[in-house]
Amino acid sequence: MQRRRFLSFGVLLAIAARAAGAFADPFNGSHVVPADTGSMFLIPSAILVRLAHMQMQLNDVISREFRSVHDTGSIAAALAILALAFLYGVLHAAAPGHGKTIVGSYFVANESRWRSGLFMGGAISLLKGLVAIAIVVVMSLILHVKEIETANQGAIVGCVSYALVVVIGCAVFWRTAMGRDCGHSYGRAASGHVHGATCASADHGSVVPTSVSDHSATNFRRFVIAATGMVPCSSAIIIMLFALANDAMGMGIAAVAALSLGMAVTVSAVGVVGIGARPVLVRAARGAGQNLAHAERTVRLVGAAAMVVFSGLLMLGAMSQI
Amino acid sequence: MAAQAHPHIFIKQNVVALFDPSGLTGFRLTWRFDPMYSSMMRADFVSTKGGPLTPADVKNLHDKSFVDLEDVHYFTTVTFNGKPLPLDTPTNFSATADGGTIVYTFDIPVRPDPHDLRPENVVAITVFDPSYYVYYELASDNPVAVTSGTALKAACGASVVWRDSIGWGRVHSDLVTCTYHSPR
Repeated sequence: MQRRRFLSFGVLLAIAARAAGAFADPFNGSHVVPADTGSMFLIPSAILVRLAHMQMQLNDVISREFRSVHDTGSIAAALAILALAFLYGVLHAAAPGHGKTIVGSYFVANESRWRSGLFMGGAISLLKGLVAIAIVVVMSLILHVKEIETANQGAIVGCVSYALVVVIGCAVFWRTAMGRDCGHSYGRAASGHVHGATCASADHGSVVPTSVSDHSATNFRRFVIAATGMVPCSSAIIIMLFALANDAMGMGIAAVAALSLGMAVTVSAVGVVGIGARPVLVRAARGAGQNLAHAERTVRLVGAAAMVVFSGLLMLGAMSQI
Repeated sequence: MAAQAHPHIFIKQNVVALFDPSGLTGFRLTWRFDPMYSSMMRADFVSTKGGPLTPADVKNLHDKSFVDLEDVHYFTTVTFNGKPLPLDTPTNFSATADGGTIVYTFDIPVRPDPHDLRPENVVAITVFDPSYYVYYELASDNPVAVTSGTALKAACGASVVWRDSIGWGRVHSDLVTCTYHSPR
């Protein structure tokens, strides 16, 4: 039984490796390696093209407004930039990336409150914006690195970040598969606290949580937020660079904040979907004849495997860009 | 992959099918970069912050931000009467700055194999980045045109085709299809 589980885990990893493609900025002397074609994201492609088209239009309008802020100091133009950057963030984060899959699978694996989903999406997106601003200030303003290179920094940081999430996912999967993990491993191991048969996670109210496991649940979540949020959003970097080119750094920071808020809406929504999906999945697993503890474990394994696969894909993609 | 893969460069494109009395000779493509990427290109490859580009700027853009596209066949696929057509190295590269926008114009020469000629020919061209890093779309005004094709009754039109992307499934891409008569 356990061997079968590891086998399926291996298969998932193999799929991840196969589907990963090569991406690089072709207008910056990079070489693009053709890769296999495979569809891993469940976004209907017609919507994808619409999203790309809308982003292109927003890019046009936002840059026009930046120029009028620069030329006339118009407050209306500044407000327009904030509103448009927010909308851009909502749309942009709907495209693959931005930690949605990681957040979604995290919440499938870990029973959590709704609030946690909102918080995690928000924290990741805001962190991404902050990192983008920091990268532009350090690389472009201080070190005078080429702008296109600066915009491609995400790939290197991304690689490290996704590797961390792969490790997290593997740890959750491994401990659950070995039967050592109920909810959050560290808490239980450290406190010697034994959960009931439901194997519920530490921040679930129905099982009396120990303060230790509550604490490590928070720590664990912080780790996921840091690992995912440390990848800057290239769009945020591009907007910051554009703001600097138009002598509007303050406006750029405000626009990146608005963009991050927009992304937070989308990413949090996925987190909430993950939280809502968990009980449904557990019920489905129970319907397949498993008892509650077993069903929870299965869903946790699926969530952990999804974390590993998605971040593994992201990692391989980022690696091919460096 | 995806964190980088969603479009970060947006290009509006015009396609002109080039003919001479012997038939199709190539396509002239005009790529108009989005203002934000244009600003980055300007900062990295152009000597001035504003105004027209100098010949040295154009050469710099050509050498540092164009020739490497050969690796990806300029994202361009051409089929002639249904068969893929090899593309020659682009000629007549020029770059201009139109306000805050960088615009590339170049010709991709094509020479259909005489054996493949039919009385009426169909040639189709798409420009598409399968990694979706660059998003191409036909420009809204005059997206498609024909030069010197009247004698061969050349006519071009735009439609949409499904293309396989890397990791994104199938996505829509613009397709320009031209028909013309072989010279008698």
